[in-house]
Amino acid sequence: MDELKEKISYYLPVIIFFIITLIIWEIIVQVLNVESWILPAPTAIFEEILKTRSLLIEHSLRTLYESIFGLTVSAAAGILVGTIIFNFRILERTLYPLLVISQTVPIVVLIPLLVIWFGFGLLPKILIVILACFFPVAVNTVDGLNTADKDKVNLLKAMGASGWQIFSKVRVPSALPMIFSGLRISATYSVMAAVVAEWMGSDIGLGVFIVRSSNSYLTARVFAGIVLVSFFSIILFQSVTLLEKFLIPWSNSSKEESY
Amino acid sequence: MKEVLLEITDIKYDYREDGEVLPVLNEINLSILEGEFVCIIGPSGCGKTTLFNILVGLERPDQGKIILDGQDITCTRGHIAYMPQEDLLFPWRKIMDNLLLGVEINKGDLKAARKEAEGLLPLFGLEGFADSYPDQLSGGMRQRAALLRTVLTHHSILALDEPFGALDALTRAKMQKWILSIQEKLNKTILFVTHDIEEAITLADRVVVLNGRPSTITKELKVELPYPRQKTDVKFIEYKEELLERLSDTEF
Repeated sequence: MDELKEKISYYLPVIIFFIITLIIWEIIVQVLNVESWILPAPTAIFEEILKTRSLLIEHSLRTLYESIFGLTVSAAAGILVGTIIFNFRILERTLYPLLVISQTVPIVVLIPLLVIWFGFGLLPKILIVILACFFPVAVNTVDGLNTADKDKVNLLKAMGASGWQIFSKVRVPSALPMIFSGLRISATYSVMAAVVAEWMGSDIGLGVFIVRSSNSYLTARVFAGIVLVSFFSIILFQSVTLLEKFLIPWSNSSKEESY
Repeated sequence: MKEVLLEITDIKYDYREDGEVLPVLNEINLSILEGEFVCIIGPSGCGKTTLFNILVGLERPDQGKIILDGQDITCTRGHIAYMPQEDLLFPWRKIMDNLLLGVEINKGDLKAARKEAEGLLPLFGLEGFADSYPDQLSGGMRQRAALLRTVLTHHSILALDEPFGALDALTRAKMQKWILSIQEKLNKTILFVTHDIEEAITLADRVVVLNGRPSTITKELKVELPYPRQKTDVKFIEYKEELLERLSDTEF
């Protein structure tokens, strides 16, 4: 109960600020009589969401599918590749720099290529999500595995531990917080990447929904799409945070003074 | 007469970096008897920790041998129970799982070890904390947990590197009293590194001074005082002065 209270008071300022912003927005639109195709009022956006909900759900499901599927594959592949790179020194000097360089290519310019190679279906969208989400996980896995405390490693060595024991009992647990911060970054990228991929050519998904609405000057619908995109991003982000709390409970155990 | 358990013979170690050679240890000879409590003191940077790393097999000496129970264990690991300066409890393991780490590494009988650990918890002042995370414990408790983890490896020699160095004076005094009682009950041979002269005299059967550059053993002092030892005892003060003199006259 206290925890809940604490949480509420922690988030209260941002909630109040958000509500005030919405109110000011509403007032400006109403008072200045702004055309709804230029800037719809928050209430109009909310109405639009309710009105088009069946359409929104249909598009959202597709975008969510692409995001979650891509994110899951990225997480698994990123952790795997990061672990392999860490364990083979030669790869850290060959593959790792290439990974970093690959991130300098804007993903947007790859989308036309992927369309040429794989068409307009589901696959190129998921590939885009993977391209966006794989890197933070892979790099954070390598870095995380490197952060293990040297003294702890030495302690295990002194006990006569094998290389595998050192890896599994010190390196992996030490790396988990960093792997999760990589995953959180990826989670926020995933929905955005899916939407951008749909933007470039698709028949379903929030990206298409937003483009079509924008082309028809249905600005309230554009905002409805935006609201959902950020809502899903937050949901995915929070899911990763929740998973982290579940998997690494030691990082949030409270400190108590006792002798 | 007690038997010699551990023999350190003619250890020499040079630290090498970028082609430069810095001699750290030279002609270290030390015999430790079974059940003895030996304190090694010396100024910081005298190679105490290096000597321990050689003992537990983390570093290779340039010369010399470590002989345990008649067996050459130089450069081999897992023979001496080692407790480093920091407690190094793994924050992701509950106390009990931290305690069983050594047994786990050596693929020992976990069930039996758990039972034994549970039996020893009260003696180490950790009763009721088996399921806590290290973060929830105080400094003294963490240090005792680290020591229990060391004890549970079942090696006859405990090598403790400034185990109480990070504790406040009050906790430290309590821990000193406590470790003496532990040694009596568990009958372990203890090699204890400290830079605190009083701590050394309070605890040890024998104090060994390590200093110079490269470091070598410049003095061995048998402390012939009954426990518990009083810091105000005339003999205690004599010992202290003797050691202080030896420690300061080789500086620079």
